[in-house]
Amino acid sequence: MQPTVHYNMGGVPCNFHGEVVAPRGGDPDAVVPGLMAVGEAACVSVHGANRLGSNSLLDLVVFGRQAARRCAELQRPGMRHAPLPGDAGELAVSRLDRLRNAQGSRPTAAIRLEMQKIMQMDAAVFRTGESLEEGARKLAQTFESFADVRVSDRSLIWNTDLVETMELENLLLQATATIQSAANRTESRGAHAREDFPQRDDEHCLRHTLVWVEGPGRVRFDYRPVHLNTLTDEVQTIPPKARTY
Amino acid sequence: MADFRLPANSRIRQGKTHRAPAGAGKVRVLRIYRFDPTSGENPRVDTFELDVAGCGPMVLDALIQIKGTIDSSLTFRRSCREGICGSCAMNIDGLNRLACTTAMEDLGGGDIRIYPLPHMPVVKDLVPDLTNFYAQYASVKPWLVAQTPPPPDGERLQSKAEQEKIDRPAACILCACCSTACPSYWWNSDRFLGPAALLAAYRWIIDSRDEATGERLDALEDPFRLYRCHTIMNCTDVCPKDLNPAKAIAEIKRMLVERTS
Repeated sequence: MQPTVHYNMGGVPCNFHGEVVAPRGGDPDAVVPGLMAVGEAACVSVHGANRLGSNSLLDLVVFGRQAARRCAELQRPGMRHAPLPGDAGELAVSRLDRLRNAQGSRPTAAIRLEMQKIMQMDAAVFRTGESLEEGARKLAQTFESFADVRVSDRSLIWNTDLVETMELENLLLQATATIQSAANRTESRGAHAREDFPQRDDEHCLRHTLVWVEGPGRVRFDYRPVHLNTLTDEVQTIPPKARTY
Repeated sequence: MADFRLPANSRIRQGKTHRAPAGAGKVRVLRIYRFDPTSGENPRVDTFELDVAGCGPMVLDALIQIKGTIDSSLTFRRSCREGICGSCAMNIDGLNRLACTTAMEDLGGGDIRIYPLPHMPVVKDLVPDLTNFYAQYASVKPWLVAQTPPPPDGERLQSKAEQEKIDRPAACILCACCSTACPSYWWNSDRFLGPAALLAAYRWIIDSRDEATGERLDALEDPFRLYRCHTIMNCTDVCPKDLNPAKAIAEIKRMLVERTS
């Protein structure tokens, strides 16, 4: 038996309407017009730092519906799209083409296994700054080696070799965001259990991490405050406190 | 005597053999159907000698190992690897089953033969075209049909007994093992709905909240859609979730008889 990932906490920052937010001009909740996310892709942050079992449907059922309502509010029949740049779609097509014809020396499965082992060893359930830093270093090398990936199926019909390779590129970005953010968070909170920082540190760390992955091992951080208040006064806001057993 | 053979371009050829590396631990031989629609070549059966010492116990583990270490072009559907998504349904040693819940050890020590679900158009390797299968599922309207509005302040409730009636039929994962194991479906899949779609129809017919029971039965009263079932029972035999589509079909037939008598 071994622990496996069954959910990704965090995701694309969203408000409770499903609209993506990104800090802009001092406003941590500035909406990115026209961009929405729901489900496990999104982070509405109702789960805090640890989504407990059986609660993942909340993301889909409640916020999926909220997102639909928001769309209905914002969109009017006959509304026009913003004009697309002439090279729209170019990036997606070139990515597909680059990977479909990838003739490097490392099979997708080999790079993926290496990434899995790093994450399993160094970003495990209980982690330390040392393990996370080491994992981040190794992961950067593995990510670098993706430039040398080999795809052997060139077909355009049900090409799972290609799809798995595209997924691997996404996973490498995701793993980089995960391990670097974990190294950067010097406290224990929810599912993030640091053996070198066993306590929760509300003074410095009660905040969302925003991370931009700019390449293998290269990340940039920013932060957003956590919404701790309810939308109505039907219930009292519950202040965070230590979880004890 | 007339000699019947498959059309020339459908005949399965002997494919490549991938030998186990020297010094391999425990070797299992997997013979796997391959078809590449872009090559213009006939389907073939490739032989993989796999060292299963470094591999999980299930057939799906072996397929993933082959794809990862021997031939990354091997194509099959898979997702949950725990028998709940139904993606990896295939014909393994002559029976339709889920690769993820079939242990290699339970297949004896001989070669393991793996083919796509039988009598379906093959998209590639072990991936059958399930378009018709899904369309048939959609045709039984697998959703709640009711004229009565739901209670304003809650859900449409069921008693425990009412829920228990649909509990098993609703556990179908639409893997298509049953329908593609059914000789009637092989011969008449254009007009016979097949056990999976009929089990879904039954699940809604007996749902205490559904108000379209009559219409649902009307839609099935047809010599082909329902009555091509000849109680062969391969469906129930192969179902990886231990469901009983044959019994559901028999119940529908009984309901049709009872409402006319």
